[in-house]
Amino acid sequence: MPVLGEFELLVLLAALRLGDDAHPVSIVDEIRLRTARDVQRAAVYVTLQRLEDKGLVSSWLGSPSPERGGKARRHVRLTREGREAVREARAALQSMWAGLGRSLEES
Amino acid sequence: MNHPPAWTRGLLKLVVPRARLDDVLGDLHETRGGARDALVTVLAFAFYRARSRWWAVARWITWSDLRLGLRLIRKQPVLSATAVAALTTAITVACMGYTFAEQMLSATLPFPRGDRFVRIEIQTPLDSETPYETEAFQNFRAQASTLEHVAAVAIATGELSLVLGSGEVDGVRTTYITPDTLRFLPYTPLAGRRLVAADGAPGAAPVVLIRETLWRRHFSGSQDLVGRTIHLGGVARFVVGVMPDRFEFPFQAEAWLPLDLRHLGGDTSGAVAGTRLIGVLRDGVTREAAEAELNTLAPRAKNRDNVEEPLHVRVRPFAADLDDIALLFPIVLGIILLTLLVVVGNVAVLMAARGWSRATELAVRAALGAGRARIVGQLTAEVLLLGVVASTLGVLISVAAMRWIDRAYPDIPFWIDLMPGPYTLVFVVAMALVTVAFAGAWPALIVTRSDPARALQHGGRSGSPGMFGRTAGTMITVQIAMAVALLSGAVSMARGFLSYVEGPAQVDADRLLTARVNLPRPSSFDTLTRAVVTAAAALPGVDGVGVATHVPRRDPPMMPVEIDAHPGESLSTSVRAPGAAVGPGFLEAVGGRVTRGRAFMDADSAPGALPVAIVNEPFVTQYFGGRNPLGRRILTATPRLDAPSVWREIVGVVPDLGLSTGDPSAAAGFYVPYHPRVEFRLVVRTEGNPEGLTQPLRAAIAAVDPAIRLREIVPLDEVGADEQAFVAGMASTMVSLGAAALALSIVSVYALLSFAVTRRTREIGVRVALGATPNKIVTTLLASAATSLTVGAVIGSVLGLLLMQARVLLAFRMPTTGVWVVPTVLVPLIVAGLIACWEPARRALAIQPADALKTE
Repeated sequence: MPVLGEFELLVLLAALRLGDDAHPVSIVDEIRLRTARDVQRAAVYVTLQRLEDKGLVSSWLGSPSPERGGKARRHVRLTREGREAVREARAALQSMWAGLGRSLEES
Repeated sequence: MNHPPAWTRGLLKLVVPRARLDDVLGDLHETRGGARDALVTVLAFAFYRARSRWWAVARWITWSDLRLGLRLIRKQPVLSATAVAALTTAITVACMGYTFAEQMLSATLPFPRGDRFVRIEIQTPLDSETPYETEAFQNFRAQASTLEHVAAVAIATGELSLVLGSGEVDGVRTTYITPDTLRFLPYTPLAGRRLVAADGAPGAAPVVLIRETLWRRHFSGSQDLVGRTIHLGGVARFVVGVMPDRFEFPFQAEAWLPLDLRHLGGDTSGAVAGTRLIGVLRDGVTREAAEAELNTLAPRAKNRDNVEEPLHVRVRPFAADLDDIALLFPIVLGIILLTLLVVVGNVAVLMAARGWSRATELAVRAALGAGRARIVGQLTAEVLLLGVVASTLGVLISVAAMRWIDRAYPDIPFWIDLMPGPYTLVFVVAMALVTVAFAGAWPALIVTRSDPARALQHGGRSGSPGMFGRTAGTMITVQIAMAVALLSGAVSMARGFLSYVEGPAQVDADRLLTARVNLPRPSSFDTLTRAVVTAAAALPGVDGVGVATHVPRRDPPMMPVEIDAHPGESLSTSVRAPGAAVGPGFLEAVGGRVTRGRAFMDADSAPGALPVAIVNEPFVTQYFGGRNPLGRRILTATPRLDAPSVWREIVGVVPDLGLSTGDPSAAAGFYVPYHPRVEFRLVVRTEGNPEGLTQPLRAAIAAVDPAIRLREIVPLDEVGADEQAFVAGMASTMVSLGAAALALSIVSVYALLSFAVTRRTREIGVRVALGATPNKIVTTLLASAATSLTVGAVIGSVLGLLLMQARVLLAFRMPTTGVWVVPTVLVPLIVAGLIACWEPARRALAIQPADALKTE
């Protein structure tokens, strides 16, 4: 199972939250909303491309719309491997976080 | 504004995977992303692809090679800077040349189905004034099955006067168009509606569609304007709508008026002069098929044998003019590639010389285990860095230059996009790679082909640079020839520019306002002309007004002139001289006082008046040997009038008042009395700043007749600004290219001579020990360099003189190029060559035999 980078994990989690409405623009908004990080949409594009190359997400084209100049939107969803990778990442992070709460508050 | 800008979309198409492209473009459109957002996306995908795929290709160049290359570049800044400057110049030329040629060849109207628009050209008989366009329009509209739509457009000659409520008058560039054509164009009005077919129906109320800039300039962008009337061109017209600024079809205009669909007339019952036909091809129909059909539907006219036959019709792309450009494109491409080849070749010579001077170091590296590929990679890395810098600079400079051209020449058609497109950038990248390969890898392969052991044994002097000696000599010769030719051209252009800018001393250019006036009704040319002159003369601050066919800096063409020689006189009787028709007061208004005889009077233009002429001082000097020409006769036609030549008595002489500003040697000319015609040039002499008279003059002429059209209302100083900008641009470009070529050649000469001295130190030492004189040493060393410089200078001088014969292709006169240009250019070349040779020669002469024989 490929190891996820930090930003890759953020993108996957945002896609998981958004469900069928997950696409680059909404993923950027979700990450900005929840992490207050200024995320570049270009970074999300490249990350989604990499995740799709790794088989962790799949994508499909929606319908074109006039608001998008007649272009279709590409939605993403996690594959089974993607969900498994997120679970593994959560487990790893939880393991690393275990017992650190108090020392963070004290410093 | 398009989101993202068109030029970034090309870059996105290059790097974004096809499956994602629509999504990315859609997101940019939806979020109104600009160029910055698009470029960030381009960079992100470019790096992603480079890391995943292309990095493997460049694996043989490591980061340490690039760091080492950077260090070497810093150690030899002059050589590196010269190579970068030369490569930058070449890539700038390549980028601009390719962009221009590509646009001319393949430009289409910048909207969907823009490639379906075509021009329909009807080749009418030369002596015919019949407007066949109207009949053709009706035939094609009714019967053509290959065309979805047939339209007609006409550009109003001059600007129509817009008379505002405040009394202010503004000139508006106006286009006539068949009103139902706008439904084929994907532009939505900002307010109101487009023109519709009913606007061109007989008896329809006069309407106008205006442009956003005009709307904001005079009407504050008010939505209430739609449905109100404005007074444009002497007619009260209802404003039906406002089009956005990006709407410029068919040419830049600020207002669109409907043509009536029966007669293709605008405000008159007859067809608007200069009407042209346009078509929209049906999907799947080729131009050739449309042309074949239209030739069967064309009107018929009588040929020279008085036999009726259909007129010939041509269907051409609306934007690209294929006939000439299809021939021009390979020529431009050839010139670009030749320039690049010469520059890259010279850089290769420099890099090879540098490589040879490090032969010992490279031999040591090879002996320590570095493979040939690694050493070649290191040598190539230096040129890679130079190539990247030069490509980046070249693209940036070409973008800046084309933006300047776009601003300096606002009349460039709107479909011409002077920004480098994706194919141009691919071309530049390909050229840069070729540069790196040819100027980096190839010399590196040559330098490293010798056995390292042998190189160490011979102190790094093994291996034969013979091939590079011949190649280097040839490259330097070609480069010198290019430099001399370009600099000769630049000097001539500069001379022409100065002559153009200075103008004749007698003309008070800073006190003159000029305008081009177009009259509406042939029956009243005389009355209107007099009324315009009277109205202009009545303006405060005006102390002279005149009309003419040409003003200074708008050189009239050369005309055949016969001079009535007296028996025994040795005069040229058949000459060519520039001539202009001028009204009474014109010569005085531009600052010319009659030096002999008299000026023109009103009576000289009256019907039945004896034909007279006034000549200028250069004419008297050149064709009468300075003798008094009064009473003598010349046979000449009337400028811009279709009338036979007549014998005219010379009644006056004036100073040189600018009949040939660009080429003073063709200044000898003449003037004839002005007869009213549809268009003339007005000159107004002021006491103060002539620009301050612009608005009052517009208002005064609109008060005479609002249908009178004006254009080019500029002070005389600004007349010919386009030509000046063109000449200045050409001169600057040629100076840049010539100077870059010269600098590269001189640095190459210096580098190669220095290398030769280093390589031949022992040989020179032995020769000195055997009694060779300093002259002999210097001659041996410098012979090939001197040969290259001399041969290059001779070839370049010939090319330069030939190049300037092309001045006849220019729309304005340029001075002839005398042989004085050659020494002007050769002197700095000789000085630079001597400097380049001096240091190596000095080192050679300083070699002591004992020290030289110890050299490894």
